[in-house]
Amino acid sequence: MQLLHLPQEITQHIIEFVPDGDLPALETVSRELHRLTNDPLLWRGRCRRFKYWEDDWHPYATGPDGHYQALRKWRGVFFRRIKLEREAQRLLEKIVVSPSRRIEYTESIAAYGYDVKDYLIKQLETPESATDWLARRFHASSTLSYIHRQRAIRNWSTLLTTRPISLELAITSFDLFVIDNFALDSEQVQRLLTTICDGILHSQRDFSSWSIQEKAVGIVGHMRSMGFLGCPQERFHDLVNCFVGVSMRTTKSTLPITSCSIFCSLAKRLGLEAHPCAYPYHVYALVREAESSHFYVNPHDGTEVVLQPELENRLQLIGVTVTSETITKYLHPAATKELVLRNARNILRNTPRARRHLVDDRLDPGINVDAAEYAALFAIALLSNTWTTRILEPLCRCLQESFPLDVGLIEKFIVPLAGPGSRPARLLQTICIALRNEDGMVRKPKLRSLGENRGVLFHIGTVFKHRRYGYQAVITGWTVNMAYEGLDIEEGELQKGLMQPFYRVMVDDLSIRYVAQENILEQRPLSAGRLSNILAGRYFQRFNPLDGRFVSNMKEEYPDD
Amino acid sequence: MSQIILLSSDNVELKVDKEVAERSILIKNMLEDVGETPDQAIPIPNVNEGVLRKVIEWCEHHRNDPPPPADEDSDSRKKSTDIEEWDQKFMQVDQEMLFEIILAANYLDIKPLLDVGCKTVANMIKGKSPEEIRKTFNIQNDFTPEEEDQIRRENEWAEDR
Repeated sequence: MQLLHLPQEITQHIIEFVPDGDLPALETVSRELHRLTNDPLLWRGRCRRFKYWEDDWHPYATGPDGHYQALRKWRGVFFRRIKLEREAQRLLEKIVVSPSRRIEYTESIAAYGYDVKDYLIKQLETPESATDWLARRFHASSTLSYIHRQRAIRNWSTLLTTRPISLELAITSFDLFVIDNFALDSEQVQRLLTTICDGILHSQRDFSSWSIQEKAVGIVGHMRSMGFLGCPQERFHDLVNCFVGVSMRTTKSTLPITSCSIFCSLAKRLGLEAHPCAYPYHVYALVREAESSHFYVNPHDGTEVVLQPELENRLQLIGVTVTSETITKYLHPAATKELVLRNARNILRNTPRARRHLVDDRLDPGINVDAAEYAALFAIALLSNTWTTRILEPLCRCLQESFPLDVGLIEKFIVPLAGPGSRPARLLQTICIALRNEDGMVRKPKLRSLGENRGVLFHIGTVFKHRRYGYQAVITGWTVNMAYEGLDIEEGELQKGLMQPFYRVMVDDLSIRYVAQENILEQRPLSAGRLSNILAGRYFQRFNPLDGRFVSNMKEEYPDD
Repeated sequence: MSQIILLSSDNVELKVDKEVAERSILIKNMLEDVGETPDQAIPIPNVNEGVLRKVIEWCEHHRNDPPPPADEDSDSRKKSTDIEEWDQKFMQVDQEMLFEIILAANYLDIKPLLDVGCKTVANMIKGKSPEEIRKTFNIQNDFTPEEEDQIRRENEWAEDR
C-alpha cells in the first residue's frame, strides 16, 4: 500500500491538511501529486478560510466567464491573498517598531482594504506571551479602524455619483466609524436583515398571498415582536439610536429614521417597494401599492397605516402649508443622501449629551463619542458641501487630535469638494501637510544626560499613584519645560510651581493628563489592572510584571528610558 | 453492557462493546436498521484482523468523546494539524498500517479517526523538500526538467517566507 494507491478522495483529504507553505514542494513531487494538489476545490476550500474580501475579489462573486474558468481562478485568488497578507505583515511590523511614517504605512495597508482584514483581526488576538503584544494589538486595531472608515467614506461618496447604493449600506456606514467588538459591520447587518426576513416567512407561511398593506403591517409587527420598539421620548438623545448596527445587536432602540431604514430594508427583501420620507421631526415609510397609490407606515411607533390626506392634515397642524412643493419634500421618498445627512445631524445633536455622560450606563453600549462625532462631521462635509465653521472647526480638531492617520482621507475626499484654493481647502491642506511632515520626521531624542533632563526622576512606563488625587496612572512622556508645551496647569496648587519636570500620563480611566513630578508616588504593581488596555499599546510593548513597569515602545524619542 | 461480534476479512471474530463499535457510523446505522443486538457476527469484509484490532483500540480509547462538530465547522477543523498525544502514539505505525487504518476508517465511516490518519500523513509532508517527500513515500519523479522548472517559477510566492 502506497500513498498514491489510496483512493483519490482520501489523498485529497490528506492534502487539505497540508499547510499552505508546503504545497509548492508537494506539487513538485510528481505529475499525479501536481494534478491532485491543483484541484480547484482544494483551493476554493483554502479561500473559504478567509472571511472578508474586497468586493472585486470576493471568491463567491460570479463572473461572466465559464464554470471551468471560474474554478481555475481559485488558485490565483488564494496566492494573491497570501501575498497581500505578507505585505500587510511587513508594513505592520514597521508601524509597531517605529513612530516614523505611520500614516504612510497605514495608508499602504489600507489600500488592500478588506483583503487584509482577516489578518489584522488575527493580530488583535496577539497572545500576551508576545513581547510586544500591547503595541501589536493597538496598531492592528487602529489600522483596522482606518480601513473601516475608508470603506464608510467610499460608500457615502457613491451618493455623489449616479451609481446606486442601498439605503442600509449608506446608513450602516456610520457604524463603520464606531465599529468595535459589539458592533455589526455592514455585511453582518445585511445577513441579520436576511435572517429576520426568513423569520417572517417562516412564522407567516401564507405571507406571499397577503395584500401589500397586510405585508407591510406584518413586517412592522414582526419588528416590534423582535424588540424594535423605537425608543421613548426621554431616550431620543442616546447615540446608539443613530447606529443601526450597534442598535440591532444591543439595545434595539431606534429613532424614526433608523426604524424606517430597517423597515424599508426588510420590505425590499420581501418584494415590497418602500422608501423613507423626510417628514418634519419624524420619518414615515412610504409603501407603494400600485403605480399611483401608496400608504405610509410608522414602524417607530406602531403598526398603524396612514394615508396621505391624514399626513397632509398633520403637516398643517404643525404649521406647514400644504403645496405640491412641501408634499414632494415631506411626503415623497427622500434621497438616500438626505437621510444620511439627517442621521449625521442627529448624531451631532446627541454628542454633547453623550460626552457629559448623561446616558444611563446600563443602556449605553459604549459608543466612542469622538468617533461618532467624526463620522457625522465627515458625512456632512462630504455630502452637504457647506463649509460653515460649525462643521469645519470640529472636523479639523478631530483630524488633529483623534484621527491624524486620516490625512489621506481628508485630502482625497474632502479637499477637492471644498474647491481648490478656497479657504476651507487651504485650511485643511495646511493641517494635512503639517501632519504628514510630523509623520515623516525622525523623532528628536530626549537624552537624560543633557542639562536639565538630569532632574527627571521617573521613567517612561512607571506606574504611580497621584499624591493628591489618588488615581493610578502610567507615565507616557516627560518634559522639563512645561511652559514650552503650552499646557494649562494650575500652577498655584504646586509647591514647586512650573520649575520641575512634568509627565504626560495615561490614567486608569484611559484619559491623558499632565502631572508634576512632586505628585508622583511610584508603584511597582504585580499587575497593571485597568491600565493594561489596548490603548496602552500606543506607548508600550507590554507590561512587565517582574519589575512592575510597562516596557516602552518609544525608544526613538526616549532612548534612555 | 451488550456486546457484538465483528468478523474480519480473514475470518477472525472480535468481541466488542456495542457502544465502542458504534463509533463507526457504518456499524451504528447497520445496528439501527436491524433494530436489536444481533447474536451473529457482523462481517467487515474490507478490514483484516490486525487493522480491525487497531481500529477497535482507537474506538475504545475514544468511546466517550463528544460527537464531532456539525459540518459547518469543517473548515476550521481542516486548518489545524494538531493531534492529541495519545493519538500521536497510536499512529506510530509503519506506513502500510497507517494507510490501512485510514482506509478502514473511511470504510467504517469513523470521521475523527480518518482525520487523525490524514493529519498524520500531512505532518509527514510538512517541511520537506520534494526529494524528501519522494523518499518518504517512495514516489518516482516523472517530470521533465522543463516541467519542474515551470512549476518552480509558478511557486515563487512561497519562497520569501
